[in-house]
Amino acid sequence: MNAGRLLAQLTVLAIVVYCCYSAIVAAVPTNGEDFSNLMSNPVSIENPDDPNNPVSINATLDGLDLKLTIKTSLTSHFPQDIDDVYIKVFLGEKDLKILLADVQIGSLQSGIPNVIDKEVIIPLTLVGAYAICGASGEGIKLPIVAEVGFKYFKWAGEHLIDLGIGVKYVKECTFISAVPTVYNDGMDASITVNMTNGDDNLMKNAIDFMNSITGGGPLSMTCGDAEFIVTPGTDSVSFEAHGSDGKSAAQIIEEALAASEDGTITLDSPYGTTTINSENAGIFIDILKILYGGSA
Amino acid sequence: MSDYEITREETKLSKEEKKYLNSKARVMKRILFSIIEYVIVVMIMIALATYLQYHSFDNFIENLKSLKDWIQPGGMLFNAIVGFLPVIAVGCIGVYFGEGTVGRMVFGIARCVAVIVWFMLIFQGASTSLDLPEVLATMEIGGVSLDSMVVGTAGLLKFLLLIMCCSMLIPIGEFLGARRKHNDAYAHKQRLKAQVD
Repeated sequence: MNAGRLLAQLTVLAIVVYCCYSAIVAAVPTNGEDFSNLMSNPVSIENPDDPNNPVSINATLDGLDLKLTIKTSLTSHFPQDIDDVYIKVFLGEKDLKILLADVQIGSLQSGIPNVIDKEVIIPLTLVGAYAICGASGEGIKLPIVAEVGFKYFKWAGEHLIDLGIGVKYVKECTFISAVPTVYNDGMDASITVNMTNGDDNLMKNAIDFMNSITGGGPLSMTCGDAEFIVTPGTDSVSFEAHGSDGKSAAQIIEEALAASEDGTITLDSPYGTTTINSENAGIFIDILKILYGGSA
Repeated sequence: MSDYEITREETKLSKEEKKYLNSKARVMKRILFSIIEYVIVVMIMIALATYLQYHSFDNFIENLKSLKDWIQPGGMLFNAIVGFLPVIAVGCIGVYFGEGTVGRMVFGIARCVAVIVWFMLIFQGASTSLDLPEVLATMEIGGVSLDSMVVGTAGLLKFLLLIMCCSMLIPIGEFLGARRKHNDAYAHKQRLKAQVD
């Protein structure tokens, strides 16, 4: 029996139990009633301007991008503040993910309404380009990944829970991609995406949307010497990429990315411009490479 | 007590007393047990990982080979397995010293430090992104499945550091508690040595 060791062990146990207890009491409601309230309604979402519509989303077309204004007010019922909350929405999965929206909500303070008024710009050209990624002859899958991140459980200045969880929802579409054709000495490539049966609303909506921008004609975008043409048909959409000077469009964009100062690529069109930010630029080049017959 | 019994008592160190004195044999025993324990734990971990990934024990060897990229040098799993060896080594060497000696206390504290270094190796940096095993990624509920998970470990690391720093009190307490018994056993050993000479 070693009295000294026993005493030391009891002291360490007391310190550890105290730290755990103080951390838990600060972060989790110990009152039984509060706890069940928290579980059933952790965060209430309200809209002060429009009580019938908890989250108000305004969509406008800005050049070739879709601009969304999101307005809502969140009240968290957790005892502590939830810090560094963000929501990112991606199109694609694993290595080929296009960042559509990145909403940084910051801190959700407990008990008081946190007003969120954010603007999100969605590059529609990238959404369209993703249609190229379907494997030849198979149906196109649209995986949407929503990543929610937050930090909770504050203890001694650090957060014990620091999570970012990506949840994936895959929508199967009944339109089929095809094998891209590469011509003109490897400089140009084109692909036509068909609907299988006439009931697919998503494809119809996309074609109508494009016709509303261009008035029924093809949409042509340029970046330096590379040109991209999107032509909506009655139940198909075709994408063409044209390079020049012996280089394919993928190579031209790759060089433009390397030469640009802030890592962005700008596509111009008669209807407006769109800027692809540095994160998505690499993915855009990968998609172009798939179009030119290579793999990502 | 009769003369005979006094002599009997003093010719040998009792098993109890040997606990408080240095011993090479104890180190050998401890190394042997540590190695066996370590190998068993690593094998169980690998078997579990293989089972979680492939859901059966058929083709066990091929599955093992495909898991090779989980155990890359610099990866979390590799750090955890190999990084634990110094902890075992320090623990084994410390056992050479008897309880109540300064050496045992020093190695007890060194072992806590080694465990802290091991934790820091595992939780390198402020965030570790875990590559989900394929099994979790294919679990679907109504078309929704998990794509990725990023876990920030700065807070957890701090908490674990606190626990390990407190644990350093334990070798110190052990030293203080066993010092008298150690001094008695040591003195007994010196007496025996003097008798023989």
